[in-house]
Amino acid sequence: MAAFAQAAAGRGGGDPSAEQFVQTEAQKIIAVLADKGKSKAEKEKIFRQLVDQVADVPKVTNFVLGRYARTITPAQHQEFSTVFREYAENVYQSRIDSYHGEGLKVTGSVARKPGDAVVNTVIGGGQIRQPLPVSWRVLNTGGGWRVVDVQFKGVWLAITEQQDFVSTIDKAGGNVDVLIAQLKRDIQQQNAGK
Amino acid sequence: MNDQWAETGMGMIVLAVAAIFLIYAFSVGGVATGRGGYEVSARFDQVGSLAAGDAVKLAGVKIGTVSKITLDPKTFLAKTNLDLDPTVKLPADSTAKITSDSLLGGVHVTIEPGGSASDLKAGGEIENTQGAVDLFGLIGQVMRPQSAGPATASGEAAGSPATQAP
Repeated sequence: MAAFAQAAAGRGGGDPSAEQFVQTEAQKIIAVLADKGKSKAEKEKIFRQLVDQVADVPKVTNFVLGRYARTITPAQHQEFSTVFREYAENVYQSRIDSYHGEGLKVTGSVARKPGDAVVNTVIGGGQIRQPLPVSWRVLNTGGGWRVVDVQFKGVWLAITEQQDFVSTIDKAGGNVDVLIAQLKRDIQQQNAGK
Repeated sequence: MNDQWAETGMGMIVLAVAAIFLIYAFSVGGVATGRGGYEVSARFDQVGSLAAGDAVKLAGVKIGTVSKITLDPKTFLAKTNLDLDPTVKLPADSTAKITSDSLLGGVHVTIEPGGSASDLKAGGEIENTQGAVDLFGLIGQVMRPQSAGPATASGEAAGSPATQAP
């Protein structure tokens, strides 16, 4: 862990406050994951509270709907927000038990413009033999930095998820309810597999 | 003397035909500028083999062309200028992706419209971008996985190939 303790100072084009944000939040998450005194249920509860400090959930929720965010009804939006949050949380919670001392180190950042940066990190240690480069797109629209997307091997997660969701809605002839129903089924399967 | 004129005339005809083809190719390819399009930019971390003149498509329909690709010296991102059809108004939070036409190559920019209520203005920037993904690199990693589960980890030699040095 000591090797991953401090952020390396990035060169010119970076944004130190964005780097600081990613490092601090990662440290918080790792502290919870590594806490052997807490049960899995307790950890899940803490993560549910942490999520809004780390990620811009409303923004991501709108983003993954793509062009359908314009046409969705308020009732559908409400329902999708709830279901999407649970879906996303489930994906990460299923990994809580597989934490074995991995750490995150910020290696630099690229400031695309003020309040919009991509922070590059490597995740290593624990059971990871080769450090994994992961990048975080963070935005600051006045209320502090929030993560809106994650990149691994050149692929952005939210952009890929948007593609996935939009094509599901496309296939259903533009009916968002079909996507909501599918996410609910996925959540049930995840819960059954726990 | 007559022969010379015939040769000169032939040369003229060849040149004229070449010019006609050039104009035709440009108009079909949509490279010609100044047709009242508007320009937006998008910065990618990787453009791959994208080049000026490549198509910008939405839902598979061509809505513009890549007019310029330059390197942003500060961020080391590739900045592309996209010349778009003025009748197409894109939501401000649209996504630009670099997509392959086929496995063998040929790329274009795909626009995935977002859901924002405001539209992207001329001179604006598409902020959500997905750069070109090294497909063969990814396939290679699937063919020779680098880390199996903990149960089989002991079977792996230390000589697993290093692909990406951070």
